[in-house]
Amino acid sequence: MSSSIFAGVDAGSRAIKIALFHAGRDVVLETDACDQGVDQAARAEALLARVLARHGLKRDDLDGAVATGYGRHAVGVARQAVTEITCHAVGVRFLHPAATALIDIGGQDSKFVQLAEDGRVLDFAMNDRCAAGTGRFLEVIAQRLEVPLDQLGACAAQADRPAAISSMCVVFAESEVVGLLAAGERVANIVAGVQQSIASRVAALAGAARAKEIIFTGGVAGVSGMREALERSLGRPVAVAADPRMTGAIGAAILSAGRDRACPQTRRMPY
Amino acid sequence: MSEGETLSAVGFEAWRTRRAVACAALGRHYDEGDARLAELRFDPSPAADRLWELLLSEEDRLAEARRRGAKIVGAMKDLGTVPVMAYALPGVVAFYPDGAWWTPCLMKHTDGLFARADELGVDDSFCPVRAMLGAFAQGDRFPIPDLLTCSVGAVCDDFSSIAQRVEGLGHPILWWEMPYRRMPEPGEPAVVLPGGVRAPRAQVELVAAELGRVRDALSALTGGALTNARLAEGIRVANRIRAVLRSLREIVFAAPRAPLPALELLVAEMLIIHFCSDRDETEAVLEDLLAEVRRRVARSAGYGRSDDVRLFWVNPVADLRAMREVEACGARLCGTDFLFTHAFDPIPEDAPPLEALACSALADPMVGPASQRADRVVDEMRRLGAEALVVVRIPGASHCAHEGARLIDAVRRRLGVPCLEVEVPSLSDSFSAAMRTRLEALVEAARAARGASSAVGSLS
Amino acid sequence: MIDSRPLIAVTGPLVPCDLIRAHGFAPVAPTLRACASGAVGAAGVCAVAQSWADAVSADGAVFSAAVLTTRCDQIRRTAETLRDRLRVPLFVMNIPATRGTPAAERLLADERRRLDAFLSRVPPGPSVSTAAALEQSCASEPDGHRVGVFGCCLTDADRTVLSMLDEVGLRVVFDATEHPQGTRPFIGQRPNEAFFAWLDRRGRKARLAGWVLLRQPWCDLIHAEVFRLKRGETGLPWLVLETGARPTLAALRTRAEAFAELLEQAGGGGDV
Repeated sequence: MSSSIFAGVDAGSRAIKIALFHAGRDVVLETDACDQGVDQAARAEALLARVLARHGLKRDDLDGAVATGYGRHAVGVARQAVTEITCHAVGVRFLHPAATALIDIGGQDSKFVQLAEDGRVLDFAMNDRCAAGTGRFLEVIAQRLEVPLDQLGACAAQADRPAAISSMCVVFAESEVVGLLAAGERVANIVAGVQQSIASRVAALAGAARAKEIIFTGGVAGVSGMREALERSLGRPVAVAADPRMTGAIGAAILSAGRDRACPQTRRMPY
Repeated sequence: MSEGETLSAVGFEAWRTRRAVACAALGRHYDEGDARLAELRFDPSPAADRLWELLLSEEDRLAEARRRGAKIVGAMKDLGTVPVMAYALPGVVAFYPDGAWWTPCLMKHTDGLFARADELGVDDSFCPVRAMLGAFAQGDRFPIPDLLTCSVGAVCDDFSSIAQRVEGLGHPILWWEMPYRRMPEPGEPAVVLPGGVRAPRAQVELVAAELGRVRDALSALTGGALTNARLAEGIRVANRIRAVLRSLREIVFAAPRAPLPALELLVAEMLIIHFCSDRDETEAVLEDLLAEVRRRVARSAGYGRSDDVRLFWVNPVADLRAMREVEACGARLCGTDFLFTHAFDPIPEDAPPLEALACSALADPMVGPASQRADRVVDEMRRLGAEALVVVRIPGASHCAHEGARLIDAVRRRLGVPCLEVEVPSLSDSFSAAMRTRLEALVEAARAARGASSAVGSLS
Repeated sequence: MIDSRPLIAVTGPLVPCDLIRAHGFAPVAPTLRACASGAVGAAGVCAVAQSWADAVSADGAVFSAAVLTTRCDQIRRTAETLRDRLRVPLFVMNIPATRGTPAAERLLADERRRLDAFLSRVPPGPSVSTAAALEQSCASEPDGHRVGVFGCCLTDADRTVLSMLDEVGLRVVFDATEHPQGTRPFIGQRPNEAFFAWLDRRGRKARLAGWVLLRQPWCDLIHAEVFRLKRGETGLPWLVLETGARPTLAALRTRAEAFAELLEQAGGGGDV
């Protein structure tokens, strides 16, 4: 008898995330993550085994699995691979049924996905070539300015005039920051400027899309100040996803269930 | 020889204390949040006050022009031709919407112009003229013109595509053809254009025909015929103003010490493109500046020292703060090519007006091969005794990727002076330090070439 | 069809190929080897323009002459430097950016006459057998999602991307990339509504599920119009892939797969 349990594996550039979805009860049972590494297939297997074990389950108990993320074709735990664009869309709509767009900013890329009323992906835009619009930029600058990531927002809130950062490359942007420090610029203004620079670049991905409900996902969604910076750049409200790191894995798991026609509860999904 | 008075540009607060009444626009913009103005330094003369007032009050003038029912013409891309025609008609104000490209530097709240352009898919891989698209989209920077003209063909790609997007916002444009200027073929009838380059007569006739369409549109706009007599008068007045600017440039470049800082010179030169929406005031401002620099030269007053390195500067900067680094690095401008040197040359007055205007337009250095622009730069550098060359690379501008190398190669080969190509970002609060490092290095190289042993110092 | 005539390298829209043939030459679009382009990494220089220049000036190039039309600033300025190193005559044909005006018509006519005179002066080089080099081929009976491809001239790098598209189930059934032959509208014309109308018409005729744009970095003329393309002026979804001289296939593949998923969800085309 089908256990109606499906797994989603998001093999990202920094971490492997896994979600277990119970299609019968329409709930996410569990999520977990581990660092990425050289042998991501083995890491994914081990993580999945641990997650399943916590529920008294084994691999054979899974009814299906979908992999997503950069490493989706490299991890062997899933039979099918679906892009993170589609998986994030599904995951965000599961957590936020009214969402009409999502912004995902990870460690090394960022994306904007526009959704139709029924949750289908209408359009998407990605930046995975330039670190200046990603979490990597924040990490580099936070380290340089000696401000912990979780205090960036509080720091930026004290800015009286965010510095204009123009570089399209995080290396040169770091040089700009060094220059600003040398010129006596306040750390708060620099932090605010960096956050605004990232938000502006990501907002440019959105173009003129006038989405009503924008959900912010990815690791950077958890960095204080970034949601506010995005709101300023977009001129519209932005909400942080309920589980911003896991939306890709959740979406992958749901997609896996959606493709199993034995689970009627998932038929409401358009996939 | 002892040097006379050493002039100093003043910071914003000092300027404001002494000059606020004379340049209300500057103070008002600052009070409205344009904090970047406070980072500039200003020549403390009444003539410079009038210059800044003219520049910074343009949008007010355009709004006033709309209120009183004047016809507003937005002349895009062509640098100095259609405005000459437009001002030949009464009740017409012409301006240069492309000029929005540098307002974000001056006016912090117009940062939003770039963001708006981003939303429309024209991101920072395009040149700063994309601010124009933002301005048209927002609709609150200047009145939407009654007539928009735009030269197209031998123009930079980013401008052409941004202008097309402006039309896509619902603003019809009268596009007029500017062919790529080529050398006349053997035996082909040719014309010598202002500035000395030659072009086939067929191309002059083509552009004249296109300007004829512009003339017809201007006439239809105002209900008044833009006759040859009116055009001829417009050309005469434009030439009068061009003569003042030529004199100003020559005096500034030739003076032992710079009697006008690089920043004010750039702004003054920009006026010739479209007369900053007020032809009469432009003439008066330039006359004032000319009188001021003459007085300064007469009493040997100037910025910096007489042994400051003589720089030739190519291409304008969107971030005006970069210009203040010239004097700070022990240099002075001795020549410029801000992309519109053809707008300084007299428009012929011994030819039919449309043909004369066509000759002037075709002489645009951007319309022909970069080698011809390089020739003019080399000749000017030689004539003016330039010791170094600065070529500014405008971020995203399609021509800069190709032209800069060609210009520098020509100058190095033929003059052997140090050259610097530097990309000046539109908005970067930290770029001043990077700019200064580069300019200082260039100045050091020029001094070494001169054999001087004095160190580079800050002299302003 | 095999042709055997001296070759003239061409690029750009509105090239009068009929005139070239009438003079006994075969117009060919050289293979653009963007990866070998000397301008790889040169910020601001278009890989298409640079690789065309490299192709016509390479040692062993068998062209009797080169003809390009002034479609864009990139090609105009590349031609300036090309002239210095090209061993065969180069003709830069001014094509009007405007349409339908007496000046535009006159310019085209004058330039055609000038080209005619130029061609009569070109010494014929060796005849070279070529397949019909200007034909654009597409999948004949594809499964997968029917897509059209648009962009400037295709380089070797672009063709690797096309292969990748095929692998993910995006079948190119209509090639709207730039082609020297023909008089169809091009995106750099002003105004360019005719181009969008043409693209829409051809997309419907080819029963496309979507379009793929292969965009060169530094190509402003096309980049600026991505917004209009994606906004639906052609009525179909668009996948925009920035290619360049060295496309990052892994990243582009993710986008292509996502686009195939999007088309699948929309119910367009065949089964993947």
